[in-house]
Amino acid sequence: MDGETLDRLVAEAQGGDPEAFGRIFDAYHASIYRFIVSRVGRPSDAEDLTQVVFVKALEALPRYEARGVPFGGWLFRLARNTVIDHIRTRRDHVDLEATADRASEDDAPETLAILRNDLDAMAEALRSLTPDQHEVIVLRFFAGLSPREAAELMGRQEGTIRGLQFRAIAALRQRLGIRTDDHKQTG
Amino acid sequence: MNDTIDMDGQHGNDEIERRLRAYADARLSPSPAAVERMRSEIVARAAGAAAMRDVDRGSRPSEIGRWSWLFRSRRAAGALLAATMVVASSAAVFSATPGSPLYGTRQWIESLMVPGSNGGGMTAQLDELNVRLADARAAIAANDADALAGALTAFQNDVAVALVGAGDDPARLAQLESELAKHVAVLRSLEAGAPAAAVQALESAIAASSKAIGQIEAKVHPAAAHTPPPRVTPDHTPPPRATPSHPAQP
Repeated sequence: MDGETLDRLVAEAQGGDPEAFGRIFDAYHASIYRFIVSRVGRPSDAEDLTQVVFVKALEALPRYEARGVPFGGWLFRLARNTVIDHIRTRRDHVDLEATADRASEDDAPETLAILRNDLDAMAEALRSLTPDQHEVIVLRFFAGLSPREAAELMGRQEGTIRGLQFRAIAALRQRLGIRTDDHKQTG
Repeated sequence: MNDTIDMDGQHGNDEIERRLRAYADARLSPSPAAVERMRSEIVARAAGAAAMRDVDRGSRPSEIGRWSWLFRSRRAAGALLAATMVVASSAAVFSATPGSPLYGTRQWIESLMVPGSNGGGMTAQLDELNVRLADARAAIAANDADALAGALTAFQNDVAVALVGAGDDPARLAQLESELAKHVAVLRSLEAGAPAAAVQALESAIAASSKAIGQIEAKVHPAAAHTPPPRVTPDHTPPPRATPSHPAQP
């Protein structure tokens, strides 16, 4: 969704158009959910928290002004605060590897097994990252934020984000046995 | 947000990106049923919020009490004026700057357009106060003492209106108090760059805001407001008499 369309939808939603807010939900729910589920682990919690984020956004929307803070950044800040509040009160997270695979329902059993192995390996590799590296990967690859947006959300410099991403990618590559020259898995 | 992830010069990392995306699709995506449920709930809430706002706009809050006639007449006058403005050249009025002959008219019109004392009304009143401050800033930038005095007089009027509009609602009072505290800080910062002739007007606006904050404090914490300040001079008040534990027998 381009910025102009988003601005128009935000204005319409602020004016009381529920469907405009629904389209904003359509544009952001996947990235917000991915950000949340990466932090809290349990899909049912992530679904609830995603809904909470949008309810908070709805309540705060009349006060939202696009002065230097893009709507996406504002929404992710709400999501981040919501996750922090949740983690403060609940410590019983589940590992992501325990979650069900969704994109594989139509695949053959052997394909499923290979895919599950790949996914498990990725989950394991992600766990090896430092918290900052992990957050950068979540924001950049799972939530789709730009380096600048991720930097604003994490309260870091953009260069720091790029550095964290560089090291995170290198760590994942090493962990998964992926060489940089031919992309072949060696292990 | 971006759809294509810039790998920041790390050539040959397409495989990592592909795997991360596959991982996100497979394990970090909500079920279609969950998305549908969330969306329905969100859109329903949005519709409910819009309906509530419409109700708020159309109703007269009971807590205005004795001031209700004022808000009713303001609304009626606003409607009449709005119709007149279609005929008249309103652009000139809305672009009037402090010190201009039309500034008072603009201020009056803007005050009439502020909704009642519901939540939206308070926000609009606070917005109006901020507009006055912006006018004051512009006047200082133009080194126009008359314009500054006009803006600050309007500001003080709006402070009084906002105080009435807040009624006894703790949330609105807190919102207004917080905003006024910021305004006092802004006004003090403006003093440094203000024309000498306008400093008195700034002091007056600061005093009005501070007084309003005091009135809010008195409403929110009536006991604290009536407690005399601690005395710094020696207190010669005689100590209270010891009262007998048993009343004297007749």
